[in-house]
Amino acid sequence: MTILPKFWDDPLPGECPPIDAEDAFDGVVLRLVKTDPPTADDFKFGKATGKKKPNGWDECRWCACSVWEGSTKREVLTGVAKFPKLRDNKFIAHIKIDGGSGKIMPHAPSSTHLSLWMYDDFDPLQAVVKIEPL
Amino acid sequence: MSAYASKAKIVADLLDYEGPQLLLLSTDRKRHMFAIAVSREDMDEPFFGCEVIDKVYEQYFAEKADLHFVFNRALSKAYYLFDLASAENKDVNLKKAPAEDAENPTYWPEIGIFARSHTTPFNRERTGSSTRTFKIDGKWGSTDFSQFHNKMADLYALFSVVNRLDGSQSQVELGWVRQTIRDRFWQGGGSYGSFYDSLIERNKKVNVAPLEIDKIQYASPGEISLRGSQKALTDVSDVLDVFEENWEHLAGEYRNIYGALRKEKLLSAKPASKFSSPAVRKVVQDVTMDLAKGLQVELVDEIYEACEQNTLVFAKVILSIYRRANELFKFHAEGRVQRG
Repeated sequence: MTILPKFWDDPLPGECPPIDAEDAFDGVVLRLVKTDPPTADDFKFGKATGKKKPNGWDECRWCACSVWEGSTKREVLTGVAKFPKLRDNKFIAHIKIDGGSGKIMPHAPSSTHLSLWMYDDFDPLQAVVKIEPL
Repeated sequence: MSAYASKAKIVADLLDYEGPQLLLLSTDRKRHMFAIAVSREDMDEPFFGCEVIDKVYEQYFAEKADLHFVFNRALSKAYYLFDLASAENKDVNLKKAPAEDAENPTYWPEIGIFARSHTTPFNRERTGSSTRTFKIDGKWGSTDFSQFHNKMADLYALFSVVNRLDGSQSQVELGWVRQTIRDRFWQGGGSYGSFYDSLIERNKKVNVAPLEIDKIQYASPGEISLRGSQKALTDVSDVLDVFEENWEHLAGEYRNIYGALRKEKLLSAKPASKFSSPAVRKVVQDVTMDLAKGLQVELVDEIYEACEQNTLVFAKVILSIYRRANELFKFHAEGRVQRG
């Protein structure tokens, strides 16, 4: 199936999402966002923001939205938001996902950090079920 | 060695979120370097970093120190800039940061960034997947918390090692335990303390999730939650249960063994010391086996084997398990700890 990802008009690069990516599970994932309520920009993946892909980065991952499993400890996300380039993130958005949201894959084995390739018809703003301050 | 580093190779991308945010590198001076992504006009993908000594590197990965501490401990107080965009084959050219950049607060990691936030498992200890919560009540001083945790940690380490005596690496593990027991004189407290310390170190080495305090709610009543591997946590918890049911019987067996060793003048004796007769040795052997089984210690025969079938050493090892379990149980008996 060709995936037309959210915020992007072209098909994803070849073999993207990777073959190991699975249909998104029924549950909640967490995403760092700048505002409450969040905006569409908060969910744009690297390529859709127009930023140059970092040297050495995988093209496919540059097309994914980074999220964490809902059970991830808050102090993990608090630490991430303390990095110099991520300090604009002030909130954690809880996003309800299911198989119709996109494809998902852990960033590393057993990691709660996930790459989510969102389908074009999935609206993450509508899927926000809770916002909490960092 | 040159005064400053000029090149470095990327070892790991420790935190990826919308691009690499924290890199670990190895410099041409054979030092570890941590570098964080920053913003500046003259580079496409600027990073700000510093070299650190091994101790600081270990402290950071063990979550004993945060990234701010790491940067404060920069080797020679030297800071570096590099452009990841110009990296070739993971090699980057370093530029020593002038003072105004080195002191730029927007380049510095905030206080409170720990290795737990990494998005890669590189060099991270395994975290246990299970937690056990204990309700606490009454008065708790800091020494009480530390004593409670230390006894739990000793038993957790012991059960983790014992559980491996039955696994795919059982012969390797049995050999290690035998050597660790053989290396000690078992004549006083030092042997026991260092034995349990060795068990904890062994578990680290074979990548067993350490016993960690998941959370403490300091209140009366409050709670303490411990995280670790499910099997070993269950084993420790079970010991408290058997103490509750059989305390008098277990205490009686302990007194019998201890009394016999004292009468035989073997409490502070070397491992090679003999009992006064085979009959006494047999009694001590049997009661020790019973005590071990009563404590729900699994694979008792393997432990006896690891003691090279030396009844005196076997008895001392099992008595040490009883003492730790008994001290834990005291917290329970005093009404200060209940299973959550």
